[in-house]
Amino acid sequence: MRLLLVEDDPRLQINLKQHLTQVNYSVDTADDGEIGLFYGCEHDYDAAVIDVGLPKIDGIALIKMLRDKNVNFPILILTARDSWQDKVAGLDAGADDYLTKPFHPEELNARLNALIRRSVGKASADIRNGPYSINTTTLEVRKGDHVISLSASEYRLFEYLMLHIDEVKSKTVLTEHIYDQDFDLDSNVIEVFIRRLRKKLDPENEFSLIETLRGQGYRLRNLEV
Amino acid sequence: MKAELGHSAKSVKKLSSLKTRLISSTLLLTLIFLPLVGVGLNDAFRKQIETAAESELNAYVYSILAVAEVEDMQLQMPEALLEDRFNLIQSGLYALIMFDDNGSKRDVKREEFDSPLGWQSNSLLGLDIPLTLPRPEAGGHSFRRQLFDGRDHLIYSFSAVFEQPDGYFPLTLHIIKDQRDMQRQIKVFRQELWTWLLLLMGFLALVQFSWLIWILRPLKSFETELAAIQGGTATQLSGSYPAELQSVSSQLNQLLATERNQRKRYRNALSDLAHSLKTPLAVIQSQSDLNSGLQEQISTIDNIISHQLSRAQSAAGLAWHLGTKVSPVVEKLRRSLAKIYADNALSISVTIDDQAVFKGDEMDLTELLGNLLDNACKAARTQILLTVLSDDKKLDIVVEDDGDGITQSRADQLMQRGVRADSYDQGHGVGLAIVSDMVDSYGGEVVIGQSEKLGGARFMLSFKQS
Repeated sequence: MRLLLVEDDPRLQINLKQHLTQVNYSVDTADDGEIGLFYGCEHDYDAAVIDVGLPKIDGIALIKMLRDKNVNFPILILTARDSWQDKVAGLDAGADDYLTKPFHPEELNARLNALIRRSVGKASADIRNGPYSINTTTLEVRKGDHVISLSASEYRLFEYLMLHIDEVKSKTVLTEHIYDQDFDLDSNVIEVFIRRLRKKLDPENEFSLIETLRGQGYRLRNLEV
Repeated sequence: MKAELGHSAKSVKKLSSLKTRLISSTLLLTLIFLPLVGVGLNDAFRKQIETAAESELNAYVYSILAVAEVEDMQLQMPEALLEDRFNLIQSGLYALIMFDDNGSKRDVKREEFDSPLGWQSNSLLGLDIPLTLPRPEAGGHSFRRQLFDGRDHLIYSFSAVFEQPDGYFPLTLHIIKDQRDMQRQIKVFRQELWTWLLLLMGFLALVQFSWLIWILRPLKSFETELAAIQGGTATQLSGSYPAELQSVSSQLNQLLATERNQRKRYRNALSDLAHSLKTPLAVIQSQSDLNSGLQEQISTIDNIISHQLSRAQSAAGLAWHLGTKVSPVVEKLRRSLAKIYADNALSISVTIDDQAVFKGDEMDLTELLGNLLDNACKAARTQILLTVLSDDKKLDIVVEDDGDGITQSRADQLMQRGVRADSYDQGHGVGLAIVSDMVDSYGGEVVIGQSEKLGGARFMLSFKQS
């Protein structure tokens, strides 16, 4: 999952990026509203975390601008102002949830998880597809009763595909959602990760879990039908 | 300050409204002053008539004395007098001469006169001569009203002394005039006077009524605009007013704008303060190796900052309370809560009087309702009821949920005054402490109980509207 984090305080930005990366997000950071707006319009994020008090363009205005430009990813606002009027202003501008400073990083993680799941129409943290299941909170992947160990990058890719079952996703899209802006989009690393996932999840190709559509991309087959 | 306010409230009550003052002065003018003028004019006219009558009778005295002669102590009068009414029987104008028998210079003996009545005009024929008649000093006169022949008459009496070789011949000439004519004149005058005065009163009342409407119209619109500001439908006075009110209106607008801007600046400053205080806390809390003791301290500091800032931001202490319509605030909060609790499938039912107005700041109302509804959303299983009832006297806000409810001891603890901010815990705690403080500063009341409809907690806030 790829996140946009717009936070002007450098220490908080570093700590949050570190934490979010640890829980398998790829994070782009912006120091002010202008950069945030540019990134938000440029990339298709899975969610954004935006601080209300930002230089150049404040958080509320940034959210409004993003929504005006038809940017639809879920947005969580971080606010030091915990009055309801501020919360209402943020949510009315187009944010989907708020978190008041200071907060536990785990709380941020849980909120983001819920927002991303909600945005793809999943209510529970457990996502199932045939014998496969992932828990977006504990980051655990299972096939039946067996826990499958995945690397961080493999998990991100599989989670993204599980959240978009039956949808064709191009390599570019997958790369965009799994890696941050510094990643080289021309690389063949997605192919490598797909191969590894197939090997770990479905070594016998029993379910044809991940299909390759030539020239289009990859699709996680819906095993529930 | 309180005593001062009490005093001014009393004065206002005593002097009542400007409208009442104007109406009382108008009534005073038309109902008391004009009738007094009428009475005065009537009296003046009557006196004028009487003076004229006195002069007339005085003239008759001289004309009669001019033709009266005394020879050998005998009074000689002509057969007929020049004024016809003296010759015409019972014409209403009479003259008679009485021989006098006393007086300082009158040394004529009484027995020298056959009868005190010396002469009477022909008009007196058939009438009884009045028994008592005035007897002024020689050379003097009297003028008075007297009953004669069953009716009011004016009597002018003049005493004269004729000097004869044999001595003095004193006599008193009485001219008696029926008052009927005079009374008729007065009556006609009075009727005319009162008819015109009544017409004038009606006309004046009409003019003054229109004048009142005209004068009071700007005040009325001033009052309406003020009510709109207090009701939350306007932010400033927009009408153009006469010079006297215009300055009040523009000063008031300026005051409102200054107050609004100051509050905005103040709140922005507090927001910035919150931002600068809480971001470092967030930095500390976002560190992975944070121990639980430090976590707890951060949480305490955060609660203190939140609580104190919300108290500082409250506009409850302001002298001037603009009204805030409740329903738009509820609608905004409902939208926000639907987003926040999107996963919980909660239903928030709202019963609200569309005209309900909270006599206070919008931010405070949002804070009150936000905290109550947020608590209810956290506690509820599926249902939340918000009921807002209002009338001229009070505003009641009731929030109910179908959760586990709240115990009486916990309710009492939450509503306890003067609880230290850092002793509030999360959930129902901080939010309700803020609600309790704010309701208190608006002079309202919080009642916590159990919802009869939903079985969970029931929070009722009551505010006086006057």
